[in-house]
Amino acid sequence: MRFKLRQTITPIALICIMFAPFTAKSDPVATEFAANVMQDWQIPKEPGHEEVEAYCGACHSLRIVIQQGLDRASWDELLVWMVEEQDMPELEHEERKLILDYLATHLGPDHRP
Amino acid sequence: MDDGMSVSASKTPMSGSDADTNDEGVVNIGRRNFIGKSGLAAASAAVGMTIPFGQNLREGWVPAAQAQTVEGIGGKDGLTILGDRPLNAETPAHLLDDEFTPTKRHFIRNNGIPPEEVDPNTWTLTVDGLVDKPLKLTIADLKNNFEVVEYALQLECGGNGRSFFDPPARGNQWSIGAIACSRWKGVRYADVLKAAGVKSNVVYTAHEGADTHLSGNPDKLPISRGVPIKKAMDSFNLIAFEQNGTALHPMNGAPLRLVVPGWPGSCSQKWLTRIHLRDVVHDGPKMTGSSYRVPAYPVAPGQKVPKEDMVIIESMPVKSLITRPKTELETSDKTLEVGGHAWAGDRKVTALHVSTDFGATWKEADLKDPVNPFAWQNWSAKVSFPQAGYYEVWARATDDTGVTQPFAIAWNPKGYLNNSMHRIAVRVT
Repeated sequence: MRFKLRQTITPIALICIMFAPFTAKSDPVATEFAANVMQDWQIPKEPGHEEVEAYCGACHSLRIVIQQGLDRASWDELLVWMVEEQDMPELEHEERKLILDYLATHLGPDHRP
Repeated sequence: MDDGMSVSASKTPMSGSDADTNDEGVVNIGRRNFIGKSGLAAASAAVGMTIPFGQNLREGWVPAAQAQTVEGIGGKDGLTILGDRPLNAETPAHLLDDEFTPTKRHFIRNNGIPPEEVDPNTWTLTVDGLVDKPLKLTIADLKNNFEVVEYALQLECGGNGRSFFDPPARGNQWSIGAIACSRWKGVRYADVLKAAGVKSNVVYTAHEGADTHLSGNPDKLPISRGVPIKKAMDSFNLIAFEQNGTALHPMNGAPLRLVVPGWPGSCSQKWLTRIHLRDVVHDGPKMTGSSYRVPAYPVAPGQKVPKEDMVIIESMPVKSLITRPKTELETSDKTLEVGGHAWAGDRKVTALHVSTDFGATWKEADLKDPVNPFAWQNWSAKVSFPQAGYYEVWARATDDTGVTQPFAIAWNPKGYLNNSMHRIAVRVT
């Protein structure tokens, strides 16, 4: 299964960003948490970011992706683990290369927050 | 595109949809249909968090509060959130100063999605496998049939300290705050096992909880670990239903959990539904591969280790935390009272030393005994500074086998067991 996302991210993103903060509860931890989401948990908008957002973000927050700071070999191992153990769909060769290139280039050891 | 949302095609159209496919293969989903898997993925990514009932979303949906994840951390105060899905949050050191950790300050660790149905009146615990008599118990059954006890018990995540690894180790990037010592009330794990009757060939326990896998697959457990039967039979392990005198917090395993102190927190299954006894080492999710395992021999930072050389972590190592004052203190006093806690897995801490000169000289702190085995131990010390300037206070605990905390991290591929010394900064003006 392949997903082409370019046409779909922008309109959905606009709607979600517009409405999410207005309805946050008044719990201060929760409010701070919701406010931080938009600022801190975005990945660089470089080629491949939409695929990373879709495949990685489908199950878990992107924040943990940003925090890893792994080298290429470790990201490669992690993608294998995700498919073998964590039910991530098998990636087609081109898409896997795009995602791995993205992670190694933009979320490597020099990019930890 | 006047209906607002369209979803790019997969090769097979969604069943039951009014789907149209245009020349580019874009599928417009009719008004009464769902936004589809890739649309949900996109929406989740755009808001940076899960949309728990996302499969119910319809076209034209406007998001309300992310009530599931946000409400789940009500009742917590001052935790640093590492991630929202799964929700993981740790406690800053200075908020861990209480003798026993209040529920609002206890760290949160999720491997999957916590359950929504957590009614203590209907919850059941199954005890089966290699037992003489399988049991199915309600919480009322536990209270009525077994002695109820309360202990202060330390829980530490195996990956506490992972964020300091260089090169980085994969996993949640805990710094120093995945540790707590609350008062837990429940029945002894050992008493329940004895009631079921442990068969003579039992080697290991296997635990299951009601949390669900992040992928949404209902047949997949997010985590199922266990312990050797000898550890399970220790009289300080609890099947707990109260924390600090009240019902468990939903993020800490309500309404029933294990507390197996001294070993990685993952041995303490939350939202506990089943214990089964096995004649082999348990191999559930996060028991195998490199999960909660370290190399059988010392390795260099970044070294690749074959899976067969990784061994299961048992007792956590000796460690300590400075909880007062808060780091980055500015003071004009030349003396300072410092304090905190120390713990050592299955063992006892016998000494705690502090240094203000980067480890060149050490002063012994006043260290208290634990209130019961597996509680952390409180310590305090008075230090003095010769002149104005920048100082660090370091703390170093020593356990009852003479092992103390290292200056540096023993690197391992998954970032476990960082028990190097905690340091706080003090500016004396």
